Amino acid sequence: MKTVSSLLDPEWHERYKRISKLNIRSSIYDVTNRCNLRCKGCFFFSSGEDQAASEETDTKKWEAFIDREKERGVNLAILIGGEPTLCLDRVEAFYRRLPTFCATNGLIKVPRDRFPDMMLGISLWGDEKDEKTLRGKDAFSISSKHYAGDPHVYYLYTLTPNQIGKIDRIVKKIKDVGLKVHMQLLSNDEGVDGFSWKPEELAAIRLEMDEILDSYPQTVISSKYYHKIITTGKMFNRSFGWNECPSVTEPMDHRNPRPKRLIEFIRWASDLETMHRCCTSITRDCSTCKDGAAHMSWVMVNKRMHIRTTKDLQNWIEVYEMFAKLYQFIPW
Amino acid sequence: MMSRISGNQTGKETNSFRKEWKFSEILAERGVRERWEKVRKYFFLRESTYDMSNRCNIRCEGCYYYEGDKQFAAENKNPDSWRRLMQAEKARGITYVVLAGAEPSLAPDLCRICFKEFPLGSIATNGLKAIPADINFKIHISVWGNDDTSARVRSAKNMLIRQIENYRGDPRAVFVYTFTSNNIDQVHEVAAILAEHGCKLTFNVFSAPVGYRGDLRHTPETLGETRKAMMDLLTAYPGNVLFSPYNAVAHTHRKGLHDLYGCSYPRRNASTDIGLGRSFRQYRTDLNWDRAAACCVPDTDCDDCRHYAAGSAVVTARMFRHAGDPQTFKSWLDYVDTYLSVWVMDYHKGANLSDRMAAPPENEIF
Repeated sequence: MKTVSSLLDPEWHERYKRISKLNIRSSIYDVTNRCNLRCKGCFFFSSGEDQAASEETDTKKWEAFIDREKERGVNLAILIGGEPTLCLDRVEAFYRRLPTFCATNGLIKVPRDRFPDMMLGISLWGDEKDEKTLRGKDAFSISSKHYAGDPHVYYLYTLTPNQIGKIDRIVKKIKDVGLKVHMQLLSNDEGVDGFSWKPEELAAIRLEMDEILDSYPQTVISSKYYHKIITTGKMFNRSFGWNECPSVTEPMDHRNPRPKRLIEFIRWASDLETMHRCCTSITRDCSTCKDGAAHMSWVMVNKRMHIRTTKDLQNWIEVYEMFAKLYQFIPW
Repeated sequence: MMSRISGNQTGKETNSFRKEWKFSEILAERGVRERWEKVRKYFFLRESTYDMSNRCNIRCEGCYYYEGDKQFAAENKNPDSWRRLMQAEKARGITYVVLAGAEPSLAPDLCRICFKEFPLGSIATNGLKAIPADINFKIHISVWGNDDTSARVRSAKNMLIRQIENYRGDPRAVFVYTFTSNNIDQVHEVAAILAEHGCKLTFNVFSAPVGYRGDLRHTPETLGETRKAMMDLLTAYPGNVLFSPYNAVAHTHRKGLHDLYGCSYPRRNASTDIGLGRSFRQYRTDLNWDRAAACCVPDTDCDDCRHYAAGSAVVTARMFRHAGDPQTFKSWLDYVDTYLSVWVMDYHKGANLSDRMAAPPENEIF
């Protein structure tokens, strides 16, 4: 029988042991329904999720809610929205209670005296021109001034077919301001012209992602296996989709048979009662979903499937490490 | 730039060390990046096909249209229905239309409606009835041999000269010579006549319909002869022949397109993920479509499919597999450049980057 230890040499086995004890249990929270940008392709607004619940404004209620979440076993709070930095009191309520990650567009600078080591993922949608087209403004020029050199910040760079051939320049810009970057692919929920993927575009972007990882190993937080998974939607002979997705809100998961999934995962709306189906919008077609975290989690929950060859298991470890770095469970 | 040399994954020494190419190294070669940038501008094309009429003015042996039940679909001739269909197609992301079966030139008004909604498309015709000049789609004129053969297999006399008269000097026109097992030698006289009249020519390979029992079906020997004829004509008429050595390999291989590349059309591809399996539809004349039957040449025997239209999508979609080394990638670029010149108005084919045949990834050359 193939076992983890039989497939790994001592160095890889150490890496394996480091992550295997993490036992990450995440949930996702809409901190607010408001945003200071309105990006084309943003799933939150395009699917009407901003209208799904009225925002709880009492900080005390947020604090009590977060305490209950902690009791439920959550050890990683992923804050999204809307734009969480519009409500720093709520963000602080999380930060004081749980390991917290905050997704932001970076326009508002999170004060480091209040949040000294909170991990921030700043969304980035392409070069200056793409950001203007899709977001109405060159958000990078602002966010990079706010966070240059900050060790607890990375850019979450969403690639579109439009980015083919342009990644290098962007990653270099990020390297030059002393930050890290992680890449994911646009799912194009709003069907913006020219932003839906074709197989040859996915192939081209995969080659470019692989190469950028080789060229900037200190700046890019990624793995080639993740690139393969996200661009093909395939893991061995299985296809990503509703029947496979690990990031479905637990009480709403009536799939039978149930696939391997995130334990106790819930995505909460900002009224602290309503739940959303999954980590992205209910209007998204799961067969074309390109969500990066969902694909990473898909790999992570399917460890057994990767106990086949040394390479397969190393691939799994690399994806797990990438996730652990992005959410600050292990150092860069 | 330094490149890495790698053996197999386990690091054991083998005798088959091969260079592991970075994509940027492949693109660094002169001409390759330029061609890559040229073709990738057209990655936005997403096609579907439409039967414009269930009638034809000739009846060819081995025609896939008159196999199966699509020939019995009623004709919807209502212009509003077609306009609405085209608008709905555009709304679901289709950017390119292929108007075909049985004979679209018998329904010019419907073709015109399609053209008004879609700037990009093509029409597959036998070329005996001219399609009005204002319908500015690519026009693919089918040629099945010399005139003696056409008279026998298609029951049409003086076919080539009638086709040329209709389309001489027309930038829309591409003559498509379909190699069957028994017209291979005739291609030389046909190509000479087409070249003399300044016509463009590309090649198709007869792909038997399901259940076909006639003698047009290829054997390994006739595929080899076809490949040789294609290569000879590429050399003889470089200004007229829209083709490349890799096109010859892909379409005359012992294995069919599905075996070589994995067909991406819904009929052979159950996946509704990103790609043709999701977007492609083949509408019949009654404007219905059937996912289980949808491909560009319905009722063709998939194991025998070497059809030029199928290859244009099937080979093109397999870019990743072709990006492992410069020779294979150049071959793929030549293939894509060829397909775009055949299918897209105002796209002009460049000189082939590779003048020799490359084996399809993970396959022999034949």
